[in-house]
Amino acid sequence: MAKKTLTSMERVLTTLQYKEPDKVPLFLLLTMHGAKELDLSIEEYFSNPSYVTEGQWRLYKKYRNDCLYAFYYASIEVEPWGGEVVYSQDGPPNSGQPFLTREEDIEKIKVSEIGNKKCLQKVLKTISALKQRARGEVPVIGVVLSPFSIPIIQMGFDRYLDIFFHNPQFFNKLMAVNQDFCIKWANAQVEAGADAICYFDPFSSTTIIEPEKYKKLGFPIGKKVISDIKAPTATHFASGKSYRILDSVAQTGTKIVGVSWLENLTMIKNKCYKKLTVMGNLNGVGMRKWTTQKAEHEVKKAIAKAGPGGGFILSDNHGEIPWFVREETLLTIREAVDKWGKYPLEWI
Amino acid sequence: MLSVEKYKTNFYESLLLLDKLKASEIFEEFLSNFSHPHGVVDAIENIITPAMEETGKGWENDTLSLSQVYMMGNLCESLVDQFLSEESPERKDKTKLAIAVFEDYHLLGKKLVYSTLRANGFRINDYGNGLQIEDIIARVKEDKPDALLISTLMLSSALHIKSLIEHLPSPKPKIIVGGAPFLFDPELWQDVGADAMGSNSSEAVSLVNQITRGEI
Repeated sequence: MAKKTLTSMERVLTTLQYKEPDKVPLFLLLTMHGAKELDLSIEEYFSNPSYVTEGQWRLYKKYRNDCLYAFYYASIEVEPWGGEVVYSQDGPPNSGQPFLTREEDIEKIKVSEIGNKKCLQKVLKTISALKQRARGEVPVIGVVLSPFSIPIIQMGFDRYLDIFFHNPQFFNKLMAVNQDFCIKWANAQVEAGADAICYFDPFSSTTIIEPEKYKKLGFPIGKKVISDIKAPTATHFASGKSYRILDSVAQTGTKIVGVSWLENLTMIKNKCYKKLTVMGNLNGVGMRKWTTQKAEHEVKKAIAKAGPGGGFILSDNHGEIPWFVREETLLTIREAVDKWGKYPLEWI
Repeated sequence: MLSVEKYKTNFYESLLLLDKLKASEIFEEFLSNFSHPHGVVDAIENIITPAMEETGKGWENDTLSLSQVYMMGNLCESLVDQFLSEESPERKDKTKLAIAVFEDYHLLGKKLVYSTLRANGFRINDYGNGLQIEDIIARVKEDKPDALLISTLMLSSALHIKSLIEHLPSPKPKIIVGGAPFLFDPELWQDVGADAMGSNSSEAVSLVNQITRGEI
């Protein structure tokens, strides 16, 4: 018998309880595609919170998305301190030259309040406006970069690795300041109306550091920050692998984990069940070339592997779908979820 | 005296611990015990090249993380620099190499490959980071490399390589690409018209060797 149609919020909350909702929730984590909807350049689009609000709303309507995603771009978190943002015509705004080079520079990035940071205010305005439109029926997702991962854009990957391995004093000082900012920034988004926060932490993935290092350094930071965020969190490794650290990730208190296409979704689901809801793991880069048949096949495959029993949200594996992914592909993904994602999944 | 195999094992173990002092001692001891006509280059090929190949395998089979591979590569590079100056005639330069980060400032991938090639005794010209098409074209016109290694992080930058290759002056250098987008779409390097793709830093060494032998 067909289940009653749920709102997106009900659908997500049901899957988070490891129960089967009416169908598999779909998080199409689209950012730049909002600019296409409004026929604006990417730079213009992100210049005005009302554009991003309208863009997200149109995307939500078009694809019947199960979330509203208030993410602008990663480097917005370093913009207030002079971090350069490099715009592209067909890609996400990227971070420019790293701006934190010396230990003394850490003093400059201390933040007392979020309120006076203009670019961050844009995000908060978007969240408030989306929250109003959502009327509690669709979760509004805010985003933070983890204190452990943001140094990649603050100081450059290579320099960060040097202090990570060789300069614990610099590292600890930086983590303390970043941790403080991350908690304030996340809670500002919660106060503005975000129902959940996506905690992006690619540096913790086993692609980047070994599990022992994560357990010693990334884990305690994640645990502290997540416990101080006043909303549920999703920890996302932005395409990085996480299978070997999933038990620890669950212990941080996070509710959802964003997993990589490079890993076995069945094994991940089995390991996470009743501990973490799995979000993933469609290949966003590959999606650019998908035919409709391929899109349907990939959706079906992911649902077969991770859908049974709830505790699963279908999404891409990176946390941002590339600009080049066509509307036709996204619509096919939507239709494939409607076709193959209806619970109970009797076809498996 | 230890066997060559034992030196290799000991050296790799010191690398895993990022023990620069120990690695340096083993390398020096090997050099003095096995004095070949081309001492340093032979020692590199016997000790460092296999270790770097091992790190590449470790990255492929998930036993090593990217940060470990990077730190181990750095250590080997600085070790080789101690014994083989940039100007040394023993530096491998049969194939003129250049490397660049295209359109962004995420330079870890480039540094990994750069260190690995230098640790293997190659001479390589670093064009820098955040380069646009016109910057690279100007450098290629002036420098005339045989092979250009291009690193990207973003899919958009990876796709723009096609236009870069189309605009390069003839004779065009061989183009080796690498970076995250190429790992998530194994055919992307062909889509953009590159000659090869390296999925890890030690693969770059083997690709450069193939170019030198005229196999690419």
